[in-house]
Amino acid sequence: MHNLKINNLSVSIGDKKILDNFNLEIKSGEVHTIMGPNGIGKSTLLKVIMGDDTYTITNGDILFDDESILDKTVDERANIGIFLGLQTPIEIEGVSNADFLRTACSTKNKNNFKLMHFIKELESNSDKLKLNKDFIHRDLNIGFSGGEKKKNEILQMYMLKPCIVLLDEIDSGLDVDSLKIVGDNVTEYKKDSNCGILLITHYQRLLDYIKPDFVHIMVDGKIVKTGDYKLVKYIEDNGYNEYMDSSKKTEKLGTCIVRESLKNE
Amino acid sequence: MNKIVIDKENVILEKITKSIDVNFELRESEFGISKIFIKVLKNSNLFFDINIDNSKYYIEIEVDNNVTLNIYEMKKGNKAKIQYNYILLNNSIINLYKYNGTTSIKEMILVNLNEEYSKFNYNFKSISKSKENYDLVINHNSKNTDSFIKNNIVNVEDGKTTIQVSSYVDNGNIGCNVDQSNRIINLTDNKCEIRPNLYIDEYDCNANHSALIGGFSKQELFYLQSRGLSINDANRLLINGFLLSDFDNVKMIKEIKNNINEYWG
Repeated sequence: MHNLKINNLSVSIGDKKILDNFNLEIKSGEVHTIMGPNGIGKSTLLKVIMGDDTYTITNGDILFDDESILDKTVDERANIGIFLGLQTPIEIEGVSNADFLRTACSTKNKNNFKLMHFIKELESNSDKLKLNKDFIHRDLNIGFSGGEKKKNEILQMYMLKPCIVLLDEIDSGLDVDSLKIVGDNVTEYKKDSNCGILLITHYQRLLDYIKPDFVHIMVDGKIVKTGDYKLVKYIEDNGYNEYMDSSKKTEKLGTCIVRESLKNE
Repeated sequence: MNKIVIDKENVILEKITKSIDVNFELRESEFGISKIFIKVLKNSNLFFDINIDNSKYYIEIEVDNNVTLNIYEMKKGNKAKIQYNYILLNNSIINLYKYNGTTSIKEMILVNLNEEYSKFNYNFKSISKSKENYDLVINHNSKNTDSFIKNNIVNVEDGKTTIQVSSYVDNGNIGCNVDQSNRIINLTDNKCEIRPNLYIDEYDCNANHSALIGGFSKQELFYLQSRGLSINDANRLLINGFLLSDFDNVKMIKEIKNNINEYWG
């Protein structure tokens, strides 16, 4: 059993506060979903957990199995079992998918790394994700379609076997078939590994495949509401307006959208 | 494969077929320049294995009508001054894959796309550890001619690299494609310079250039580290990709990998 605990975390970039006393705990076997309007710090949260030093932590702590990981580097966090599937995976010319994964897996498994086992596992996981055989020999994410990039993130997850999985809008850019493949595979991995999952999404459709135990609404850098799956449906129908600061609410007037704070000007 | 070995002051022809005519004059008295003249009559592969020591060479390669020439060139030694002159006739193509492993080099590369539909693909890699100076001049002397120039250089130790690429398209030479991509990964505090010049006097022309001096991007390193690679492993993988991309000649790949391992092994 593992747990990831985020305690009173405040994060800034320059003068701008992005996370404000943020709290969350993810345990093995749990699926948490964070939803919220664009630009309120959801992706930042995941990058900060992973150790991206673009952001400054001004307060709070991140604990993995009750030990602070703030002083750990990005790779150290990955090697204790935290995995971040990016919304926009980076393209790297000249580095093949196979070389990349082999280096990552041999780093993680050190002396226990067996090349033949790696190849078999890679082929089997590629089949599960319905990826072509040549896919693994192509340059990392170069020329991949949106769906292939996301499947590649899930392939990496399979190969690295993390115990805490962070997925940032893994459903964006996926067609209905790919969405099902990605959703089913994340669910299967969770069932096999009993990992904890923190999922960021804007849409219900992914959650039809990956059933969340907790749904959190995030606004202005903190969680303002937590519920179960029913909350997703409520958000789909009603949006985020009731959770937003009044100055940022939008109201439909005819065909115009007018910000509350501008109406009195 | 046709092979020409330049070993200091000696030129050795190995496995030269009838598809290539080679003539040479060693150490012309006035300036101490050795000259090699090559005429390519049929589709060919040509391997240049160059070991140079304080030598000056002039290498002229003319490719006949409707002929494709693939050149694989590897250099080592020190203090080289080489001038190349590539002459392309109607519908001829040169695909050039070149790696520099010398210490201190000055090159002048002149490309004359003299007749219609000729095409020059230049793919160059180097680990620059002292002064390296490359001056490329590409003359699109006829309409519908293409040039694709790609320089990937890693600057280390006492490396000071300068690349100047000047592409010329005169008025009336319609339908030309002119492309330059120049990148120096500078791992020192030494000054490096890229001077990309496009002298285009014709509206009907597709011209692009990119020039970048710096390290690998933070996003690339974060992505690799987030899969458990240490910063050193991430850099080594990126350097491998940067220096090996587009190359498929086994001997060249082995040589480049050996040199990479000397620095990042």
